[in-house]
Amino acid sequence: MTSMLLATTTAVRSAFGHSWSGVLNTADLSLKNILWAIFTVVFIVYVITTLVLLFHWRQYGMGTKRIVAAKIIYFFVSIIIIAVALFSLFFI
Amino acid sequence: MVFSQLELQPQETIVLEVRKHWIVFIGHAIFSFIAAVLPLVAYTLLLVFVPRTVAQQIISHFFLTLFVYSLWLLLIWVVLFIRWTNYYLDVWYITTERIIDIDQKGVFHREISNLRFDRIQDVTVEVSGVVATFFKFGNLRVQTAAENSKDYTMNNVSHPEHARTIIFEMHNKKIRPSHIEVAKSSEGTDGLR
Repeated sequence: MTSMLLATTTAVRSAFGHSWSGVLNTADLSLKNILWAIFTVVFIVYVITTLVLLFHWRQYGMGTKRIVAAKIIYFFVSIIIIAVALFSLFFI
Repeated sequence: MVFSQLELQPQETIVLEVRKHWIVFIGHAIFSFIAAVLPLVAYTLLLVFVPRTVAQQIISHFFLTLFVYSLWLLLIWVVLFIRWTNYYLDVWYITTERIIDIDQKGVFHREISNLRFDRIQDVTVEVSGVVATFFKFGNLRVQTAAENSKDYTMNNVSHPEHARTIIFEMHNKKIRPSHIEVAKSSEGTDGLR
């Protein structure tokens, strides 16, 4: 297993002429653009899904305390995750 | 609570909410937890078992890994809440007049049925297994008297025996007065003859 990984690493290095980080650095600009595009798509999907969930909670949730608690937990954790994603995206 | 969506009649009140047992959702939650932790385990194993040079390369892209992982967590989080919504909005309301069956089959698939107490023929409770007996959940099936009408079933209901008792109580309250009236009226006609 280890020897296979080493062989793969060597093959990639020889193919590109430098290390993996070097490969990624040369493609940094495009990589970052791709990651921003992925983030945007995921965020749009998140917003649409959240709107659908909010509609259901408001329309059919009967205003129960559990629905209110669910909203708070959902948004609290979602905001933290999105913040971490954005934070990591700036430091890539 | 706001029950305006149920369109209750003026004298109608809700007697009991019948929901699925929380253990049903715990199953989804455990699955989501495993899905969330699995990449962390894989990442740790990768760092332990791959050669040091490769591990250093992976660590050097820590923020890229963190970015991908946070998107994965967001996906799991949203899916978990879609499942919770489907679980929570799947409910039976037993009112003084009828049973309102709200069947939340999916985010965009919802069925609402009404069942009057005078149409109920039998209520069956099925509790099978040690877990179901210990946590007091089971399947509740209401059979209707009319031909070609479906049975109303809710699986993994919390405290199904209690729901059954309430349904029978409401059923008896609705049925008995009319039976007494019929009996009285028949007695009256017999007397006239």
